Amino acid sequence: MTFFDVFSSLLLLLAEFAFVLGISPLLVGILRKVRARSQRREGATVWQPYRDLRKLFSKGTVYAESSSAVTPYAPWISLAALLGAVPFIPWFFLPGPLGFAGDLIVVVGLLALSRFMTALAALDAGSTFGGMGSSRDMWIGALAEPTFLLVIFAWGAPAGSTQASTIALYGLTLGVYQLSPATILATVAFVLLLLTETGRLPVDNPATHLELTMIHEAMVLEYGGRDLALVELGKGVRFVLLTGLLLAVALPWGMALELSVLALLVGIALLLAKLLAATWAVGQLETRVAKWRLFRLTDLATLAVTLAFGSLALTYLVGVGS
Amino acid sequence: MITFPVLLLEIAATAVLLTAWLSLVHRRLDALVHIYSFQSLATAAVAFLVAYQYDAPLLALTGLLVLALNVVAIPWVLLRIRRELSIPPETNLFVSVRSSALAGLGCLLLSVAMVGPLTSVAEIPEAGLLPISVTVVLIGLFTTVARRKAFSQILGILVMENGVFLAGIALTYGLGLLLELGIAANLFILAVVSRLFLHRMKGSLDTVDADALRSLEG
Amino acid sequence: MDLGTLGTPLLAAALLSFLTGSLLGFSGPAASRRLARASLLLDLLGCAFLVPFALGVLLGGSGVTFPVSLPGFSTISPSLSLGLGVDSLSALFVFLLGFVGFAITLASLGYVPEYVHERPATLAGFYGLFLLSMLLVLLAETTFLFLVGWEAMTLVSYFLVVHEHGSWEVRKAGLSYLVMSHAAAASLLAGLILLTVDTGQFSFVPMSHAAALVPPVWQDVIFVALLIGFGTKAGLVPLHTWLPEAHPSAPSNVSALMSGVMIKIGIYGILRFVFLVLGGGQLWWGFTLITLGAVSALVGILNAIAQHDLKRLLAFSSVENIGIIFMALGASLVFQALGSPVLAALALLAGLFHTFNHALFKGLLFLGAGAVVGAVGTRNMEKMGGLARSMPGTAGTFLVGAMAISALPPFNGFVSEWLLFQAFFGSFATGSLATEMTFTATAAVLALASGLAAYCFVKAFGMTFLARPRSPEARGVVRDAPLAQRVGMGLMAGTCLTLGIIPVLAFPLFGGTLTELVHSGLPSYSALSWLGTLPRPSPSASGAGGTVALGVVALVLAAGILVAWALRRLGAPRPDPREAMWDCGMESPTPRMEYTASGYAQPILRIFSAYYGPREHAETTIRGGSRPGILATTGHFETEVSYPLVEQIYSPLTRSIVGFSRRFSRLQSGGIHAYLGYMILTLVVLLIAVRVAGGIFP
Repeated sequence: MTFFDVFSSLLLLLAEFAFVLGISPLLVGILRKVRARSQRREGATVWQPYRDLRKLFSKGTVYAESSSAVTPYAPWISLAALLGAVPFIPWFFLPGPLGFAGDLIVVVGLLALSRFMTALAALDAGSTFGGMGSSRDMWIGALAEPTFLLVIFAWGAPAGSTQASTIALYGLTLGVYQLSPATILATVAFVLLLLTETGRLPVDNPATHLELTMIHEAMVLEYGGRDLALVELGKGVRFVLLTGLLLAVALPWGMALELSVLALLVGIALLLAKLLAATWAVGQLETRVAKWRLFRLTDLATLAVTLAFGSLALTYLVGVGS
Repeated sequence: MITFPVLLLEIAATAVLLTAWLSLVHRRLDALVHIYSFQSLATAAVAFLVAYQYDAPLLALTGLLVLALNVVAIPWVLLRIRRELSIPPETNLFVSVRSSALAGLGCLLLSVAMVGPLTSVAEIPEAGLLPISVTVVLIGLFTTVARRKAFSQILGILVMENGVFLAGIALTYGLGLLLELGIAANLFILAVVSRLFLHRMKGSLDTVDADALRSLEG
Repeated sequence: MDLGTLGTPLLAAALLSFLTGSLLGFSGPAASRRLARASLLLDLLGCAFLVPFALGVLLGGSGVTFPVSLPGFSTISPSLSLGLGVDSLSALFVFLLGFVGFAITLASLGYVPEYVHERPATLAGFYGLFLLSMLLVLLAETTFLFLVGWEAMTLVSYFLVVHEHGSWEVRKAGLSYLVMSHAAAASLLAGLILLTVDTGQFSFVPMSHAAALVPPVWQDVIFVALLIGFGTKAGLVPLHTWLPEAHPSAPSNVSALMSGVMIKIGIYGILRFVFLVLGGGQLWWGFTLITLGAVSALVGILNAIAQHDLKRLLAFSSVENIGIIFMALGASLVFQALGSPVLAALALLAGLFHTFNHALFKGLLFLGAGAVVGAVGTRNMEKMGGLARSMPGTAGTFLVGAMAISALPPFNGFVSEWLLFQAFFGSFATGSLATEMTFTATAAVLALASGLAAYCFVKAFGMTFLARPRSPEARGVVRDAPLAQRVGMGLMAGTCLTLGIIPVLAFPLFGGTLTELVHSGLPSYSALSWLGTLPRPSPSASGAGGTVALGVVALVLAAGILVAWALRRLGAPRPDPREAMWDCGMESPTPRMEYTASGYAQPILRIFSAYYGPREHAETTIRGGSRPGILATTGHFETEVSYPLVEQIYSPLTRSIVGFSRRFSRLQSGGIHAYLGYMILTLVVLLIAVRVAGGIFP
C-alpha cells in the first residue's frame, strides 16, 4: 500500500462522512416538503432543517436535575454509532475504503447501539413520556431485528457474503438480472423495515407531539440546544443510512469502480439523484397511508419478517451462487 | 441464462405473489378489490410475456381476456355489489393478520418444498413461476377458509383463479386458451351468481356473514 | 511452558488453596468477617494458579489427554482408576473457572464482608468447596470421578443457595433445585452407566475409541439421557425451572459463580460426552439441540422481560443465553453430520466464545445486582431508581454488562452472535431446503432474542439506575459498592470491551478444543489480527464470506464520538446548567409518575399474550369531591403473568408425584424395627435376584 493509497482512502472516507452528514438535513427537508405539498400546503423550504440545526447548535443545553451522566453522553454515542456504520455501506465508490472492515450485521449492531443509547437517555430524567417512548421504540426495534437479519441473508445469499460492498459488486456483475423474485421480496421487506427503523408513517409520525402516538419524539423531549441538534442530525443520518443501504444493494448501478475524478463525480451525482428520488418516494408513500394503531405494528413486523423468510425460500429455488 | 423477457416475466410473477400476500394482511374490502385488479394486471402481463417469448398468439388473446374480465369487469361488479348491499368496508377475520401472514409463508414454503424439485425436471428457465403460482393458489384457498364474509371468500376464489391461470401458463406455455376461456367464463358467471346469492342472503338473513348460514341448519 | 514440570505443581497449589481456604472458612466463628476474607483470599490465590495452568495446556499442549499425577491420587484398581486428566477441552473450562472465578472472588472480597450479614465465614467455606468441586468435575478423567465431582458440585451449590435459609422462599428454591438436580443426576447416571457398560471403559479416552461400536439405538438412548442430565444443569428449557428460583435466592457472588461458571459445566458435559465420546452422532441430535436452544432463548428472554425482581430477570436471561449456546452446539453437530467441518468449527467457536462471554457479563451483572440489592435491601426494581448517581462505579460496569449481553458492538456479546449468524449464513451452501429453512428460522429467533434482550436490559438498567429513586430505601443509598468488588467488576467489564474490540486475543484458547471436537482448526482469519479481524467463513464457492475488523469498527466509533463531541462542545458553556425536569411542562413531577418496570414491559406482554396469557385487573374508585364523579380517588391495576410451562407441566407432575409418594408413606412407620425389617427384606431379595440372574447369565 503506497502513501497515495492511504491518503486517497482517507480522503474518500472523509468524503463519505461529509456526504452523509451534509445531505441528511436536506433529505429531511425534502420529506417535509413532499408531505406539505401533497397536503396542499406550501411548507417550509427544503433548507429549513439546516437553519434549525444552526439555531440549535448556537444554543446551550439545560439538563434535568434528576438526570445522570447518561443524558449528556447518549446523543454523542448515538450519533457516533450511526456514523460508525457509514464506511460499511457503499455510497459512490466500490468497494469503499473501509468496506472490508464491516458487514451488514455490524450495521445492524451499530443501529441497535444507537437505539439503545437513545432509549436509555429517555429513561434518565424520569419523565413519563420518556419512559413511554423508550419502551415503544425498543419493542418496535426488537420486532424489526429478525427482518433485518433475514433480509441481509436474502440479499447476501447469492453473493455468498454479508458484506454490502461484495453484494453490490456481485449485483453489478449481474446488471439488471440481479432482480429476481427472491430479491424483490427481500427488498419489499426492507422497505417496510426502513419505514419502521426511521420512524416514518405508518409506524411513527415524526411531526406529532400528541402523547398517544409519539414514539421517537417522546424519547427526546428532555433534550434541548446542541444535544437536540445532535439528536435531530442523528435522525436524518439514520434515514440516509438505511436509504443508502437500500440503494447500494438494490440499485448499485453507476457507482465508481476506479479512482478517477470523472467516475467519482458520476457516482456522486447518481447517488444524489437516487437518494432524492427515494426520498420523494418515501414522502409519497407516507402521505398515502394513515398512522397505524400502535399494536397493529406487530402485523407490519410479521408481514415484513414473513416476506423476508419467503424470499430466502425462493433463493433456494433459484440456487445459491449459480 | 435468463433473458430479458424472462426477467420481466419473473418480476410480473413476483408481483402476483406479493399482491396475494398483501391480500392476506389487508382488511378493507375496496382495497382488496383493487389489489385483486392489480394482481390480474400482473397475471395478464405474464400471459403477454410468455406469448411473446414462445410466440403463442392465442395466449396473448387469453391475456386480453384477463385484461377485460379480471382487471376491469369483475372488480367493477364486485365494487358495485359492495356499494349496493352496503357491506361494511372492513372484513372480519377468522384468523388474525399475524397468523395469516405466517400462513402465507407456510404456503410458500410448502410449494417450494413440493413443487420446487419439479422445476428442475421440467427444464424451464423461469424456475420460480410454478412454485409461485402454486403459492398463489394456496393463499387464495386459505383466504376462502380464513375470512368470515362471503364477499372476501369470493375474493379468495378469484385470487386462486389467478394462481391456477399462472400455473396453467407455467406448465403448458399458452396451450391453455380453452382452459382459460372456460375458467374465465366460469368466474364471470360466479361473480354474477354470487351477486344474486349475496342479494338473496342479505334479503333473507339480513347479513352477508357466512357464519349466519349455520342458522339455516334444520 | 512445560507442563510436566510446572503444570502439576500449579494444579496442586490450586487444589490445596481451595481446600485450605474452605477449611479455614469452617474453622472459626461463622460470623467472622476476617475469617471470610482470609478464606476468600486463598480461593483467589487458587484461581490465580489455575489460569497459568490452563494456559499452559491450551497454548503449549497438543490437545492430548494425559494423566496428571498427584500424590494421593494413585490408582485404586485397574478397572476403577481414580484418575485426573486434562485435555484442551477441560483446560478451556478450567481457564474459564480460573479467570472468571478470579474476578468473582476478587469482587466477593468486597461483597461478602459488606453485604452478607449471616455467617459470612461459612459462606466463604462453602464457596471454596464449590470451586473445588467444579474443578474436580472438569479434571475427572473417568466416569466414576466425574459423577463424584458432579454430585459434590450439586450438594455444595445447594448449601450455597440456601445460605440465607431464614426465608421460606429460599428454602423452597433450594428444595426445587435439589429435586431437579437429583432427577437430572439419575438420568445422567443412567446414561453414563449405559455408556460405561456398552463400551466396557471407565476412562474417557478409551471410551471414545470404543463408543463407535455402540449400536446406534443405544447411542440415541444415551444421548437423550445425557441431554436430560446436562440440560438440567445448564438450564435448558423445559428443564430450567430450578434456575430462576435458585439463582436469585443465593448470595449474589454465588449467583454470579453459578450463572457464570456452574451452568457452563452442563455445556462442558455435552461437549465432553456428545461431541467427544459419542463423536457427534446423527443429524437429529443437532436439530434437537437447535430446537431446544431456540425455544430456551425465546422462553428465557420473554420471561426475563416480565420480571421486576432484578436477580430473577438475570436468571431468566441466563436461560436465554444457554439457549444461544445450545443453538451453536446444535448447528455444529448438524454441520458435522452434513460433512462440512469448517462450518462446524465456526459454529462451535461461536458457542464456545459465547460460553466464555456469557460467563463474563453475567458474572458482572450478578455482582452489580448484588451491590444494588445489598444497598437498597430489596430485589424489586420498582423500589429502585436513581442509583447511577449514588453508585456510579456499579452503574458504569453494569451498563457495560448490559450492553455486552444485548449483543451491541463493540462488546464481546456481539462478536459471538456475529460468528453464530455467519455459521447460520453458511448453511446456504449445504443445498438442503430443510436445513436452510431451519437455520433461517433459528437466525430469526436469535435476532429476535437479541432485540428483546436489548429491550430487557434497557428496562433493567433504566429502572435500577436511572430516573429518580422510587422508594425511600433507594433514596437513602449513599455508598458505592466496596472497592474490591468494583475492581472485580471492572476487570470483567474491561475484558468484555477488550474481547469486543480484539476478539482474536481469545481465539488461540479455542483452537485445540475445535481440533479435538470437530477435527477442524480455527477458521482462517486475516493476518491483521490486531485490527480485530474475525474469521472469514466462505459459505459458497462464489462468495468471499463476510469479514469484520472490529478494531476498525471501534476506531470509527471512537472517531465518531470525537466528532460528535467536538460538535457538541465547541464554544458551549461549562458546566451545563441544571434545572427541574421539563416533562412537557408538568408541574413538580414526582417519582410516582415515572414509568415503572411493569409499565415498561407491558407492550411485550400484550404482543406475546399468547405466551404469557396476562390477566389484568383494574379497579378505579370514583368519588365525589369538588367535581363529583370525575376525579378518581384511588386506582389499582395489576397484571398477572402466567408461566405456562410451570402451570401446565410441572404442577400436575408435582401433584401426581406427591400423590404417588403419599401411598408409600405408610411404609414410614417410624419404628426402628420396621426399618431393620426392610433392610433384611432387601438383602433377601437381592440374594435371590443375584441367584436368579446368575442362573440366566452364568
